[in-house]
Amino acid sequence: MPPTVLSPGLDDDKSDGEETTVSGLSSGNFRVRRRRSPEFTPVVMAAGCGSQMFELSSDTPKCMLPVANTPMIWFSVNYLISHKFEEIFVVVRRAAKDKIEGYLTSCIRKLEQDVHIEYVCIEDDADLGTADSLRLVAPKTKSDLLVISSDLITKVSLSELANVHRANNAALTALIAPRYSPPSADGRRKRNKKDDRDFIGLDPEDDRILYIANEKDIEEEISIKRGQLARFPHMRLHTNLLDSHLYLVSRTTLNILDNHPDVSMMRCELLPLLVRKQIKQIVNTSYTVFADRLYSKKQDTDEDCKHPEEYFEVLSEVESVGCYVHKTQDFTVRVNQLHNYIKYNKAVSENMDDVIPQNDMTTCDISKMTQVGKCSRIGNSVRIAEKCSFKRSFIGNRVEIGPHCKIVDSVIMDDVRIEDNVSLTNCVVCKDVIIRNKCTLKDSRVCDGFEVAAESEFVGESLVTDSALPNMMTFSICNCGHSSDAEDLSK
Amino acid sequence: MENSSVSPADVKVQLQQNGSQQPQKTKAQLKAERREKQEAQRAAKAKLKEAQAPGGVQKQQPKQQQKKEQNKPPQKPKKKDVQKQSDNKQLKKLDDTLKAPSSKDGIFSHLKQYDRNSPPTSTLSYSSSPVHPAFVKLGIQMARETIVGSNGRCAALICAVKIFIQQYRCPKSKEVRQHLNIALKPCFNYLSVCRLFSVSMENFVKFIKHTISKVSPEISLEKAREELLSECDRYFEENIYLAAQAITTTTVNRINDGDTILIYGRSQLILRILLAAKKEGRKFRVMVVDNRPDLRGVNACERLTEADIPCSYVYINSATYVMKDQITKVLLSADALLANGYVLGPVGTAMLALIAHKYNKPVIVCCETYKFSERVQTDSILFNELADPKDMLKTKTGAASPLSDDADHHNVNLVNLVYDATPPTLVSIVITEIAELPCSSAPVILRRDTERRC
Repeated sequence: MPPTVLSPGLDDDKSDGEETTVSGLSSGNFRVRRRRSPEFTPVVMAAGCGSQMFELSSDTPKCMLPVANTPMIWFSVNYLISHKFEEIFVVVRRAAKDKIEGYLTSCIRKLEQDVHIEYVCIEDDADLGTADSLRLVAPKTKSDLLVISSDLITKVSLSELANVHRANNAALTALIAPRYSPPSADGRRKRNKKDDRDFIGLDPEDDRILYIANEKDIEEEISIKRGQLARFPHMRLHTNLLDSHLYLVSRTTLNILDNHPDVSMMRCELLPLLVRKQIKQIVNTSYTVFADRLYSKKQDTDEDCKHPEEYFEVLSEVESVGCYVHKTQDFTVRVNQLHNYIKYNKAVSENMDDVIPQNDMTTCDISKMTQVGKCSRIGNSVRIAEKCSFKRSFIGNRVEIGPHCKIVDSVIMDDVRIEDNVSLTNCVVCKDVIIRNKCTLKDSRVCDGFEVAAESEFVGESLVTDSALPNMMTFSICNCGHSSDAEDLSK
Repeated sequence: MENSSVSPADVKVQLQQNGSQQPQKTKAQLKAERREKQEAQRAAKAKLKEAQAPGGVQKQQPKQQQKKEQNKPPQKPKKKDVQKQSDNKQLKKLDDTLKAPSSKDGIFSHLKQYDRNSPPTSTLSYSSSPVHPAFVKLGIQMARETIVGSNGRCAALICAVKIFIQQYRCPKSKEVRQHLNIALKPCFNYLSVCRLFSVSMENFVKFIKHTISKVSPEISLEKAREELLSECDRYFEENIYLAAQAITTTTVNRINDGDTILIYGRSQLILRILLAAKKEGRKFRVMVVDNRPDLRGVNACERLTEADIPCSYVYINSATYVMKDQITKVLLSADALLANGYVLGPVGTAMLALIAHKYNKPVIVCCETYKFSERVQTDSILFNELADPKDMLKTKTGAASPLSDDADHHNVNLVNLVYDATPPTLVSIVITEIAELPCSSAPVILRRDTERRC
């Protein structure tokens, strides 16, 4: 039974500027400087198991998978730090906590800002969704929450999103962006059939969410109630937009979470619940449309409003459940699917160049006879022999590559050893892999610790070690009820 | 230059310069040299002045600042002060963003141009800004005109101040009555940057500052909070809630059977009066006059039709036609009443009052006393608010307005005024909760208020 959110964990009467003790589920107590409860408290959801990329994330937590040679979680945490948040909650699995904590602490030490990260741990086998994690974090703070997923990489300006949230006194504000597609040669945009689409219905006047569902949750039809159509006659249904899992959640939503203990996932369950509640409330109570906005009728009726809060319902938190979106054109991607992984690596490398921490090329030993393409990135302590060529590829740290290798459109993670005459095209090679000589791999994934035998050829396959196999089987079956590409899993 | 004859002056010069080994020069030559030197110096000075012209002005300012700093008593560096200095820096940044565009050159160039879509929140930090989140929210809601109407904005401000007071914690070394005012100051500054304060809001701010300064330093924080919160509630109750009831009863008596009443736009008070009159059983018709760009009269019509009051809707350019024969009374609301009797209302009020005066129709203005202001103004230009000019380009169907091609031209200045001032001679009577007054009695009410405060 997840804990309730209504009891605030902080003491009201401490005077300004004193230090208060905060105890959390994670290691013991720590002292937190509290001036006043901040407007938003950021929560990074890093406990995902990477169900749609399970081949890559068997050993590494999904949030530590590298995008453009930097672990994914860096992007969301850096985004928050650049907006000058002083306290960040990160929700992690207990097993992964040490790795993530170690990485983030070393990153923050390099920055000059004073940031405090608190880790909220979830037990490894607990099947908790994102909404459950919110229930864990909510008692620790009194302010609204800014929920960001660790696989989100974005450049959007947070103040615009916050303004939408404040102006409408919203219960939840979501960030919506067009799906990223790389500019193609012929200028047309092709929809990748493997992307699962979000159906988002918006009120064109004020960006209120009227309908939201994922393609997988819709069986055959979308049904809209008549009362809703009477109140909102115009609805624009978008299928090409990405719900980027960056939400501003107000305290009213957390109260609603308390009343619905079976809600476990934010995107699949909480969001549609809030939208339905919103519509119901508006349809049932008497609201009038005033200057194209909903305006309470209470002011004009004979019920006299003795208190300013009743007179002015927008500021009172009692009833209003408004769900709004902020549409942005800025670069936004969510790296959570396998078929997109390499594509997004390249996209992030192009678009977020200013944010990615540059690495020290002096530790690398690259032979002069190799060609490294413009769009490739190379990590630390890499040794590359002669006559290799790299095009649009990403190479992690401490990699050794033998001579005469050809690597195109691939991602190679840390501690990999590649012997000579290997050709990789559109492959993802995970950690601690050894690829023997004269191999040819195309459209494949080589998982942690695998050893590819010499002179082997694979096209479109996932190569997994026997020890990792049982973990992956559970991943592919559990979660959200959808199955990913199940190809030949054993070799 | 050579001289043919030697004059006694030259001889004197020669005698004086006997000791030196310089070549002997005539007086004229010396004069010429001196003139050259002077001109060279003048040229050098002029160059220096040009180079220093921007810097020269700045030199004066630091001097003034130094003087001010010397006058302040020396402060011990405490953690609070460090925070305050950074607050002040943030405030200064806020003030800088205030300098954003005033209207283009012309008659309104002294007024600030507010832009709905770029409120100054980008400089505010989410964690520790001096502006409380309730005020940040309120500022954005006012800037986007989610909250409109002078009563509504004042009520919203009261709510925000109450939230602030509830969460306020006073540092141990300071007294509530001093520190709370200082803490509220950045919040009010921020609000005024988002959108100009209405007179109702200004008067409430004066009231709350005065009340805070009277809080006794001996009582505990909780008690002080309770006192202040109850004062806020009392202000709302007396000045908005009860005043509305009193005005309604008085005005309803003036509405007779068979009247056709003209109202302008949508005012919460006027609608309340009409609904109350209908409830009492008066039989009257209403003519709603509306104006672009907000078209608020549409909503007024909806409310009246729901209450079964027969109403018609016209646009302001047909007000003359309608006023001549059909109207018996004009009922207007005010945003403020100035000390010289001028009525500040939504733009278009003055025009309606003028037309009504011409055709000898009585103009009744309903205004609560808390909206009386000490300001004096005889026209709508001296002090006004400029709303977003892009609203002028809005059309009902969403098609491009005929102005949109020329809107960016440097000779075209789109002005979206919010208020206008109606002279007291055009207003027959002002109905307040205290009494029914002529416009010129405004100073009497103001005097009463200042006496009450003391």
